[in-house]
Amino acid sequence: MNPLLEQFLSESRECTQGISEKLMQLEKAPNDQDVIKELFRLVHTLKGNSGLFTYPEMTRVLHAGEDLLGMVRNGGLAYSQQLADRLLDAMDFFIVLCNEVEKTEKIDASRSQESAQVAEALRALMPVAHQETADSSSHQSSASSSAAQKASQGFPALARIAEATRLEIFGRYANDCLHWIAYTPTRECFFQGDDPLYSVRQTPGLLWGSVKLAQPLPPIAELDTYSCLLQFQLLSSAPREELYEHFRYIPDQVVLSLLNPQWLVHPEGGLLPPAAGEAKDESVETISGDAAEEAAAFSAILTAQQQILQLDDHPAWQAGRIKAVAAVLANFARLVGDTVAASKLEAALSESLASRESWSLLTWLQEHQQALMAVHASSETALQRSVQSPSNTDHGATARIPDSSSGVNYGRRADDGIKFGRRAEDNLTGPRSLKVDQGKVDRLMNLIGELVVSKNALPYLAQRAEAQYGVRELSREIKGQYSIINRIADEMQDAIMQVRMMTVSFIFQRFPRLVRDISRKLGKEVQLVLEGEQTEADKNIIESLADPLIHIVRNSLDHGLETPDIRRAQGKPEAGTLTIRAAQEADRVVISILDDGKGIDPEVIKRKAYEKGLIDEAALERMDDREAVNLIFAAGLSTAEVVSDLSGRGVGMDVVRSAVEKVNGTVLVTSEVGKGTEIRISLPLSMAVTQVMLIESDHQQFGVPMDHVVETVRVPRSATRAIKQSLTTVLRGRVVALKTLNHLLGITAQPRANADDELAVLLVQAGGGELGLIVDGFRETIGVIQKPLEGFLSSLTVYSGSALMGDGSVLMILNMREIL
Amino acid sequence: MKRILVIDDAATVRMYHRGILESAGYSVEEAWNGIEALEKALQAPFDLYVVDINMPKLDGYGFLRELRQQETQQLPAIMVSTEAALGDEQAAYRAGANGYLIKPVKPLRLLAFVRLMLGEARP
Repeated sequence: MNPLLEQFLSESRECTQGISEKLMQLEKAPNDQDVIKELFRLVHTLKGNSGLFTYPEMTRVLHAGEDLLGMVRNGGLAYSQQLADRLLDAMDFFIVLCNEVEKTEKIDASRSQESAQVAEALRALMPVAHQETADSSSHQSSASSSAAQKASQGFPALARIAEATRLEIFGRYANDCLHWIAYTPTRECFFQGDDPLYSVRQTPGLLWGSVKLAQPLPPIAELDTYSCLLQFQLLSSAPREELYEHFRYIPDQVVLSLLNPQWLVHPEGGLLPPAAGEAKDESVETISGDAAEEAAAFSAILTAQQQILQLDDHPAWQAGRIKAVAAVLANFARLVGDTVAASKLEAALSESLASRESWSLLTWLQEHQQALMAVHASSETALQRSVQSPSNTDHGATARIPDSSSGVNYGRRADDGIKFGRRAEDNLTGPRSLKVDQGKVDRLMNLIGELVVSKNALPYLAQRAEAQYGVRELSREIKGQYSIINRIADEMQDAIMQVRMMTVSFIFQRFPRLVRDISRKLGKEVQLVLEGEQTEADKNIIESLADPLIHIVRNSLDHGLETPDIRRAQGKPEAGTLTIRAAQEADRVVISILDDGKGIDPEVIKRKAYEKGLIDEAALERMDDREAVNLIFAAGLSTAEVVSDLSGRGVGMDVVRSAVEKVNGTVLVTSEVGKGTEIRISLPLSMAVTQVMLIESDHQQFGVPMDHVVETVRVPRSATRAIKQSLTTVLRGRVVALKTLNHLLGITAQPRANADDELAVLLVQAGGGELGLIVDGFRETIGVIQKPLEGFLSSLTVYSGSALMGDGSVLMILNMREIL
Repeated sequence: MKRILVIDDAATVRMYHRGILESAGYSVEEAWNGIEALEKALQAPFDLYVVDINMPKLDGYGFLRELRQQETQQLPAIMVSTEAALGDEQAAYRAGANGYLIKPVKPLRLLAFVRLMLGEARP
C-alpha cells in the first residue's frame, strides 16, 4: 500500500478515537470551549487529509461534520445529545470506509448512497439557511440522484450549465482560475439596503449565473413577499481578490469555490486530484501544466506581495512582514537577473523600514512589475512551443523534464524520487515511542523461539562429545559456552516480550462509548469507573480479552444493573456503578468487572441448571452458593427473564470462559444478592513461552503444562485400591482418583513401576478437580514455544500443541482439560 | 540545499508536503504545531515555511506573528488551509504570510510557489 495512504488510515483511527473521547467529555461539560475547539480541529484534520485522496464518500461525510462543528464552535448551534449521536454514527461509518480502503484500497460504489445519507443526517441538524450553501455536492436535490453518486471529484453543480456554454468557457479559460460563487442573501436583505440582483449582475468577470430557491416556499398564506428566499449561483473568471472586494459587505452570505477548469468538461469528475495516483505523465501535459502553474503562481505571488504592502495596519511584526516581502521580491529580481532592480530594492526596503510605511517598496514593485513579468512571459512561450510542436515531445520534452514530471507521479513510487517513509523526526512530534509493524515483532518472536530451541541442542552435543567421542574437555567447554548463550537468549526473549507488552487501556478505551450506548438503549443510568488502565500484558493476551470483556460488560448492564426506578425503590443511588479494574498480581493480570446491581441468586441458577439437565439432583443438593453462581459459565444457561437484543439468548458466558481458557486464563464470579456481582478474569502476563513438565509413558515423552501440575508423587502399587471401576489412592488423607495415561491415550502397554514397585503419579488439576495421572516416569521442566496443531492435526483435541525440542524431536503437549 | 519547514498538525498532510518537496530536492523538516515550529525556527532559520492555519497550542496566524517579530526570521512563508471562506487570505497576509494556497495543494502548484519564492528557475 502507498505509505501516504497507510499514514492516512493510521492517523484517521487516532483522530476518530480522539473524537469519541472529546464527545464523551462534552457530554459531561457541554459548554467547554476548549473541548469543542479540539473536536473541530480533529474533524477538520480528517477532512483535510481525506482531500488528498479520491474518496468522495469520506470527504462528503467529514465535510458535513466539519461544517456542523464549525457552527457549534462559533456558537451558531448548541451541542446536543442528538448531535453527539449523529457524529458518532458518522465516525463509525467513516471507520467502516477506512477498513474497506485498507482491504481493497477503494470504496465500493454502493457506499455512495449511504454516505449521502450520513452527511444529510448531519446537515439536517443545521439551521435551514446553512444546509445548502455549504457544499455544492450536498444539494438536497442532487443527493439522491444518480449524478450525485458519481459526484466524486467533480463539481456536479456545473452540470447545470449547458454543455455548449461550458465547453466555450473552457476554451477561453482553460488555464485560468475560475470561481463558483454561491450567494445566499439573508431573508431580510431588502431591509438592509442590499440589492442582490444588482450585486449579482455587477459581479466582475461574470460568465454564467442562475437563481434558485434557497429553501422550499412556505404555503401561500404564510408567504412574505418581502423576504428573500433565493440563492444565486455564479461562475466568474475574476481573480479572488476582485470577488472579495465586490462582496466585501456581505462576506457571510457568499461561498467561493475555486474551480478546476477541467470540471467544465467533466462536471461529474474524471480529472483526479494529484495524489490519487493517476497523475498524467504525458510530457506535453506536464510541461504545459508546469508552465501554466508557474505563470499563475508568479502573478499570484506578485499580487499577494502588493496586497501585503497595501495593508494599512501597523502591528508589532510589521517590520518583519515587510522584510519578508522584500526577501520574496529580491528572489524574483534575482530570478530575472536584474541586478539594478535588486540594488534599488535594498534602498526601498531600508526606506520603508525607517518610515514604517511600505510605500517606497510599493513604488519599487510598480516600477519593476513589467520587468519581473518577463519570467512569466518566457514560461508562456515555452508553453506555446511545446504545444505547437507536439512532434518533438518524444525526445525534446521528455528528456528535458524528467525531474519535474517524476515529482508528481504518486502512483508509481518505486521509480520516482518521492519518499513517504517514516523518519526519525516523525517520532519527535509524538511521545518518544516507535510504531512498529506487528509482523516484525512476531518475526522476532519466532526467531527467538528458534534460537531457544537450537540453543537447547548444545547440552546434547556436550553429552555426545563426552559419551560418544570421549572428549571430556570439549564437552566442558561446550557446556560453559552454553550457559552464556543461554543467559543471553533468556534476556533477549525477555526484551522482546517487553516490546509486545501493551497496556489494557487499548481495550478499556472503547468502554465509555459502549457503556453509554448500551445504558441509553436500556434506559439505565450508569457511571463507569476504569482503574489500572496502565497495567501491561502481552499483546495477544490483551487482544484475546477484548471480546469476553465486552460480553461481560453487556451482561452486567443488561442483567446486573437495575433500572433507575427499581434502584430508587431499593434505596440505592439511581445511577449504577460499573467498575472495570485491571491489576498485576505476581505473573498474572487480573481484570475485575464489578457492578452494584441485583447480583446473582444462586437458588435461581441451581434450579435453572437442574431444569436444563446441566446438574443432577445430587449435585443440586450438594452444591454451595459459590459453585452455583459459577454455573453461569456452563454452556446453555440463561437466567435472563426477558430475552433482550443485547445479550441474546444465553450464549455468552460459556463463550467467555472458553475464550479466557484458550489463553490459559481463569474466570470466576462472586456475587451477593442485592449488592452486586464481581467477575474476575485472571490471565498470564505472556503466553509466548510455556513451562512444561516432561513425562514418559511407554518410552515416549509428553509435555504437561506446569499450570496444571500440582505435585509428583510415588505411590506403592499396594496402596492403590479399585473402587467400582476406578482406581484410587489416599494421599495425605484425601481420596484421589487415579487414571493411567497410557489408557487415556489408547496405548495398550501397562504402566511400568520402579524397582520398589512404586507407580509414578502426577497430580494434576483441571476443571476444578484434582486427579492422579499414572505415568512411567518424570523428567525435567523446560520452557518451550508451543505451536498449535494445524490443519488435519488440529482435530486432535487431546493435545494442545507441539514444541520443538533441543535434540530436534517433536514434543506433544497434552491438553489436560480434554484428556480428563 | 534549501531547508523548508512544513508545519501541520495532520501527519498525513506533513507526509504529503514532504514527499512533494523532497522530490524536488529540498531538505524538509516537520513541526506539528506553532510552538514546535517556533522552537525549530529559532534554532536555525529555514529558507521557507509552509504553514497550516488550524493547529493546537499555537495556530498558523500566531506562529507567523511571532516569527515575523524575530530579527532573523524574515524569510518567505506560504500559508496552506482548507478553509476557502472569504477573508482567510487577508488574515494570512496580515499575519505575515507571503502566499496562500488551498488544500489539497496540487504538487505542481506548491513547487511553483516554493521555487519562485526562493528565486529558483524551473529545472
